Order: sequence, then C-alpha cells, then structure tokens
Amino acid sequence: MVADRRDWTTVSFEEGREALKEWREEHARRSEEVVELWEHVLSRSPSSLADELCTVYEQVCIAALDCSRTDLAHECINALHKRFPGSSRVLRLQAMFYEARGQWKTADDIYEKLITADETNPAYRKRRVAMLLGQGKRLEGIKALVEHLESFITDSEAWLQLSELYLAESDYARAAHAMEEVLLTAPTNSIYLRRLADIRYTQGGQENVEVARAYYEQALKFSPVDLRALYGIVLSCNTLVATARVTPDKKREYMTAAAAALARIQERYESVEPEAANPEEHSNIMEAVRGMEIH
Amino acid sequence: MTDLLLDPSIRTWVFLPIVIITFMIGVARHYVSLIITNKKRTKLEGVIDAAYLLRSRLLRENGRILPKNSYWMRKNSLVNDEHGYLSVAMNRAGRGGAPNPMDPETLTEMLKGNILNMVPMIFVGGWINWTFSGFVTTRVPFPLTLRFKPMLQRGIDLVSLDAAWVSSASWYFLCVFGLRSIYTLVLGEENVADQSKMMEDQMASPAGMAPPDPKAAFKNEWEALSMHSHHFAFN
Amino acid sequence: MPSSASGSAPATFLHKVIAAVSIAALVHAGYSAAQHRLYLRLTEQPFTALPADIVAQTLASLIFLCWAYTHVAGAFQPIRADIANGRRKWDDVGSCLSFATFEHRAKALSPTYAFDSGRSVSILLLLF
Repeated sequence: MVADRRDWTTVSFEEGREALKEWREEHARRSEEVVELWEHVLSRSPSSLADELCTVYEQVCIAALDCSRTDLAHECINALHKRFPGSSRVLRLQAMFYEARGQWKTADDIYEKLITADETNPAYRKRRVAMLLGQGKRLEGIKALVEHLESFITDSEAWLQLSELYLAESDYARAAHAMEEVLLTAPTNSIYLRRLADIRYTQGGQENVEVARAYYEQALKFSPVDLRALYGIVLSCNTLVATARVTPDKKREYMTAAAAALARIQERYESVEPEAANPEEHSNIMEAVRGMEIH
Repeated sequence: MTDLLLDPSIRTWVFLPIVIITFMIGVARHYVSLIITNKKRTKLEGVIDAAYLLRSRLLRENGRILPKNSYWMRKNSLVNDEHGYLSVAMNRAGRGGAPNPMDPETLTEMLKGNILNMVPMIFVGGWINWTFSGFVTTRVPFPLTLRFKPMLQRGIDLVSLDAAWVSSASWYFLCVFGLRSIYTLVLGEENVADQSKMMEDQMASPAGMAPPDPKAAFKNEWEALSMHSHHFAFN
Repeated sequence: MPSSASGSAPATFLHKVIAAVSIAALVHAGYSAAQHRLYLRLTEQPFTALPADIVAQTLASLIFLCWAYTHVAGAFQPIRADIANGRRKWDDVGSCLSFATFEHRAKALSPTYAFDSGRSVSILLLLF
C-alpha cells in the first residue's frame, strides 16, 4: 500500500535483496517497487545474487509485465532462457508475456502444450483461468475454475480466488462455501476467519449473523489487534439485538459483548492518536464510535 | 577384558579416513543417482486421489470450525453411499495394478537402483579389507560372543582376542549404516544415500503393494470420516 | 523493511570472522588436549588436569562462538503463527498471484502506451 512508500532507488544491495525476498514470501504485489529496485539497485551486479538470481529474474519479469514494461520482461526471459533452455517455467513466463500483450491465442496454445506435457502441475490451468478473467469473461472464468477445482480440490489459492469471483458476482452463499474450503486448510488464520465472517454478515439472516459473530470472536482471539474484527462484533451484536426472535438473556449478552468491543476500539484510537494531537477530529471520531452503542 | 593399546596412527590413518571415505562415497552416490535416474511421472488420477484423501483428513481435523450444514454437506459429498467420492473409490476395481515386474521401464529402474547401491558397497568394502588388513581398528563398546569373530575379525587369526576388537572392514560397514542421519542432515530428505530406506522398500514390495493400497487407504479414510462426530467449536 | 523481531543486528563480516576463528580455536584446543595426554602417557606422568591455557582457550572460544553465532543465525521467527498474520494486510493475503492478470489501468503508465497496436489509431481519432 501507499502507506510505507520509500525511495527504493537509494537503498543498499543487501537491503534490496532482503526486501525482494520478503515480498516473494508474503506474495505481495508491489510491482512498481520491484521494477524500481531491480533497475536502480540490483541489476548493477546480478551475479552477487548467486542462488537467488533465477527466482529474482522470475519475480522481476512478472513485475515488469504488471507495469507494462515489456522491454524489461523480454530481457529477463532471455536471460532465463539462456540459463535453462528447455524449461517449462520459462515457457510459462513467455506465455504470460503474450498474455500481457493481449495475444491470447498464442498464450493459450503455449499453455495447452505445457498442460499436455505435465498434467499434474496446477499452475498452467490457473493461468488459463487468469486469461479468461483478463479478457473480462468472469462467468466462464468461474466455470473453468470450478472445473480445475474438481481435480485439485485442496488448492486453497484457487478456492480463495473463487470466493473473490463469487463476491464480485454477489453470490454470497457460494462465496462463503469457497471461503470455508480455504479455512479448512488454515483454520487458525485470523484473516480468513474475519473474511468469512464478513461474507456471512453480508448474507444476512439471523443464523448467518450469529455464525458471523462467532467467527469474529474467534478471529479476535487469534489476533487481538484486529480492529475490523472488533467492528464486526459490534455490528453483528447490534444486528442480533435488533432481531425479534432473540431471548432477553441473549440480548443482554450481545449488548455486553458489543459494549466491551466498543471500549476496546476507543482504547485503540486513544493509543494511536491521543486527544491532544487533533482535538476536534478526535472528538468527532469518538462521538461516532460511542453512537454505535445500543442501550 | 584385555586392554590393548593401539597405535595412535591407526586413529589418524585408518579410523578417520574410513569415515571420510564412506561419507564421500555416499554423497557421490546421491549425486550420480540424481543424474542417472529419471523423475517419476505422477499420474493425474493419483494426484486427485491423494487430494481427496487429504480433504477427508482435513475435514476430520478442522471440521469443528464449520457450522453444521457446511460440515454435513462436505461429509456427505465424501461418504455418501452412492455418490460419495470415498465410497466410489473404495469399491472401484483396482486401478493401476501392481508395478508390473515385466515392464521394461520398472525393470531398468530397479536395476539402476540396485547397481547404484550394492556395487559400490561391495567394491569399497573389498578394497578397504585388502588395504587395511592385518590389524584391529577399533573396539565396539558392547560385549560380543565368539561367534562373531570370523565375521568381524577377518584377517586376524588370534584365538584369544576378544570379539569386541574389530577389523577395518567391519568399521566400514558400521559407518555405512551409521552415517544415515548425517546424510539426511547434509543432503536433505529424499536422498539416495539412505540405504536402509531402500532395503525397507525391497522388503515391502514382495508383500504386494499397489492394488490393495489405494483401496485400503480409501476404506480407512471412509471409516474414520463416517465415525467422526461434528461439534461446532465456536458456539 | 527487513523484520528483526528479536532485535539482533544482522550478521556483519566481523561476526562471521569471529565465528570462524572461534570454531578453529575450539578444534585447536581439543587437539592440544589430546596431544597433552599423549605427552603425559609417553613420559609416564599421571594425568590430573588439563593445563590452564587449554581450559581458558576452550571456554573463551565457546563464549565467542555462541555470541557470534547468535548474530549469524539472524532473528527468531515468532512461534505463534497468528502473530505474523496480525501485521499482514488483505492486499497481500488475498492477492492470489497465480491468477494475477495484467489487464488493468497500469497499462497506461507504460512509456509505449500510445504506440501499442490499435491504440495509436484511437489516439488519432480522438485528436481529430
């Protein structure tokens, strides 16, 4: 995000290499910064990267395609091709190159070849789905993705993407189902729990909001700093209190839970920006937060 | 228990070199096998089967985070008598069959594996026996009966020598088996220098591997999932 | 920015040199101890204790090795997996990079945007 923007052109080689490694591991899509880092810092002495050189080339190539820098991407692909002439990974990058230029048919043919050469590698099928999405054919993309998932049913990245696609189509029930599949493989991930809670809450209906509240609580337990989970608790409790078919005991329980969550939110805002810094804005925000409490 | 004092140069020029030789040969074997053998081609059906087995296991282990409907829907899709994937897979006629020993491909693989493992051991063992002969190399820390003497003390014909004192060839074989964990440390998992795994495979395969195996795995998973009871943990 | 949860500085050349020298000193101390015992056995003296300098060398090299190695090994990973998740953003977690498509507005940032096939015609039409 824009929040931690810094000038990557002046960092040291080691720092640049560390940053690239970190972004690789957390799957961050910071393409502009990767390209900047490569051009100004790392390309001066690529051989110092030694073992990491080829993975860095791959990362830079994809980032270059993202920034529409086809010249840089071409250079990376050539360098990799020289090193690994018959490699299917390089061929995949080549196909992505064609994708970026809009030559869908050529790219599709390459993927077809790669799939017949190695049936069990899910990466190529996923790129085919990505091509459909890139051409704007979302419904066909969903169909292709569902087909892919029949063979590779434990592919959590594909389920996550499916969930996002269903959300774009406002099909919340199926999005929740897909998100649950993701959660099966990573049950302690507070971010997935919160996302599923968001979907459930959006679906509406007493049962769904109750489940959403349970998930929000669990996400908070795993990650006590999650502000969205706190807001989620407040919203779902407020909704449940307003529902007719809830017993008075439960109502009281929800109200206390919401009040506790609100208190934590206020605490958090106080600690991040104390009153003295910006009194008017501070009081407005606190007023708005207090207004969420149901009496 | 006789207490022999060995010449220290045995330690420097026999004991340690045998360890180093064994280790280097193991590493060399690993890299040679990487060059020679082809990568095993996995079939798509095998991957799909493994994925469903994994899914069933995940459902059992993490099913408590799903609400009742979601859990039962998934369980049904797996263990339903007519349409459930596990039920169908369980009753499916044995697919794939045993790795046919007459198949030329598997035969060459087995041959390569055997040659790579047995031949160096025999050659190097023999060479060490010939070079470092005529003296005892080390003493094993546990007492042995006299039956072991002809095996462990080749080339030394002393009747009254304790069987715990062994020759260099036995030290070599001890090293071959003892350096297993060092190989795992240095070469990572999946290394060919790990001979005992190879021997375990050889012992398991005559017992009949592939055809019952997927079916048995599916049956076990089906039973486990059928018996599993669900409780939504976040209520 | 590189994370260093435990606060230890990243390994510098000095740390690596000290680690290497400590290992060598430790091995050397062990070898001298063995040689000392051999000498005592040859001169038929009883063995009571190792000479003070060997003991000192062993202890000193051990301490230096521990210190240098904690720096070479780098920062510790947190054990609770969800601690790492607390700092991650949905942009990264939900990015699904295998499905990343290149058809987005960033294409216009490319220096060759106007000259790519088809666009030059539309630019001309816009101008006239």
